[in-house]
Amino acid sequence: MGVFSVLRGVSLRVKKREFLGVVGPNGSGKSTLLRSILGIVTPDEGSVKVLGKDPFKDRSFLKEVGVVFGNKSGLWPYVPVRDSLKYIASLYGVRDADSRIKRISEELDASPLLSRLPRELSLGQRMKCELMAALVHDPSLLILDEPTMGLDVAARESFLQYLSLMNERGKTIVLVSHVIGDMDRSSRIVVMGNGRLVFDGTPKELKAIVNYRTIILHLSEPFGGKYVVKTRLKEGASVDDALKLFSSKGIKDFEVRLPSIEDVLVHLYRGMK
Amino acid sequence: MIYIGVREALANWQATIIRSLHMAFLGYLIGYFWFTVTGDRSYMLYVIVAELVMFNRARVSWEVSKLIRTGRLDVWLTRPGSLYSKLFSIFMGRVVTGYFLSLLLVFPMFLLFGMPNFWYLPLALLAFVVEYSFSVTVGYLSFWVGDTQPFRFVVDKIKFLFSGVVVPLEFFPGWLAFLSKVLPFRFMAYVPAKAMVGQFNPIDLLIGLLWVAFLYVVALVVEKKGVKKYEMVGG
Repeated sequence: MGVFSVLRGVSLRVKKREFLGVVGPNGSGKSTLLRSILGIVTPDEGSVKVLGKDPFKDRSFLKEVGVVFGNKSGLWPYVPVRDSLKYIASLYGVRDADSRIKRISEELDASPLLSRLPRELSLGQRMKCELMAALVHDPSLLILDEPTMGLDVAARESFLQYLSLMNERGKTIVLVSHVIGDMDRSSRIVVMGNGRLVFDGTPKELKAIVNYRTIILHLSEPFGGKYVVKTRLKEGASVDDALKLFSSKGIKDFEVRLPSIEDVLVHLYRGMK
Repeated sequence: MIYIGVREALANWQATIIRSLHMAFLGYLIGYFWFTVTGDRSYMLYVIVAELVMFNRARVSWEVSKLIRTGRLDVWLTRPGSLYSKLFSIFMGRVVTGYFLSLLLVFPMFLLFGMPNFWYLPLALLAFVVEYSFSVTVGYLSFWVGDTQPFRFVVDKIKFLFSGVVVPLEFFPGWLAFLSKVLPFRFMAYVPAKAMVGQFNPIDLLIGLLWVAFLYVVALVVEKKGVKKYEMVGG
């Protein structure tokens, strides 16, 4: 792609009403993938189809797509949010913009933000407005590039919850992020690394890639209740045997943890190097 | 659609006031110079009206260049319509609002140097559209060149020279006069300003409209080629 290759041999089909999470480290090519889907970056080889159209030849597909760029605002800092949203709605030929804006803002609990200037808003509030801007024309496909970057836990949670709701209502969602926690609600995860797809499957399948277990032992008695030990079972070792062994040593308080998606990603990225 | 630009212009009213005062001062100095040289008092009014148009121009090249360099263009490209038309509505709102605010602020100068013919005020719109189309194309050069600032600086000087803001074009010697006639810059200030001080040539309006059509096509072609070239590599 261009002077150097950013994406190589990427083949991806997103089904209608799917919630696809695209995750990968910085420079893995996930934003380039997203730009290719949007017809912004032209691939040297291969083809892209979005909603049945070639995004490089027929831009009419944009009427069906809503986009949020976490680090690039689509609002005007000195113009009240409501007016920006109305302008954006007019680009899509939305007729009932007022009622549409009212409905989305109520759902997002963002009605008070409509009369404010984007430059006065916190990051969490601004992202709600960016999401409203992406939804103002009721798109069937929502594409988000690092939308939760810099958000606090509560703002992130409510943002992702709303995405889930949109997905339940039938919208297809493509969420690009390097924060694996953002992928909790996705039905499918694609992991990118060095411009390639290194994994494509469900979150459950992703976790199954690494089959070790972590056991956390709370050493209450006879160790004075001071210590917590985290230990990892080697692949193939029996969890039951390990627990029996710990019980026989008087350790009764323990928990077994499956690998988190973060653990799996670390495993995948190590494999790439 | 132009409402966004109107709101932006009103939000930056302080900048409009400073620009208008600066323009009024420069206009007075330059106008007084030509009045002294020619003994014709109408040059005072001509220069002020020409400056009013030129100082309120779109300044779109810098902003387009910034959109491309920062990658914020992505947002614009993912909304329907050509970049030219989306930016046009916003910049025209901004420019026309700024122009009318400046007009109000310099109105006392008209009481001193004579009233312009306000029937030709719409010609200012022609000037803004010609200037917009030209500048947006200059801004698109950022698709190929990282920093267009030196280029924009030179283009701005050429614009000032050939738009007749500093030197009324009738004072240009032979070959320079020819150049000023064949280039589009005179429609950015000279033609509307002359019309407003009572020297309107309908042929100029026709040629001006042809320039608008030509520059529009050029801008769209450059935009199309530039957007294909545009590659912001992300994470």
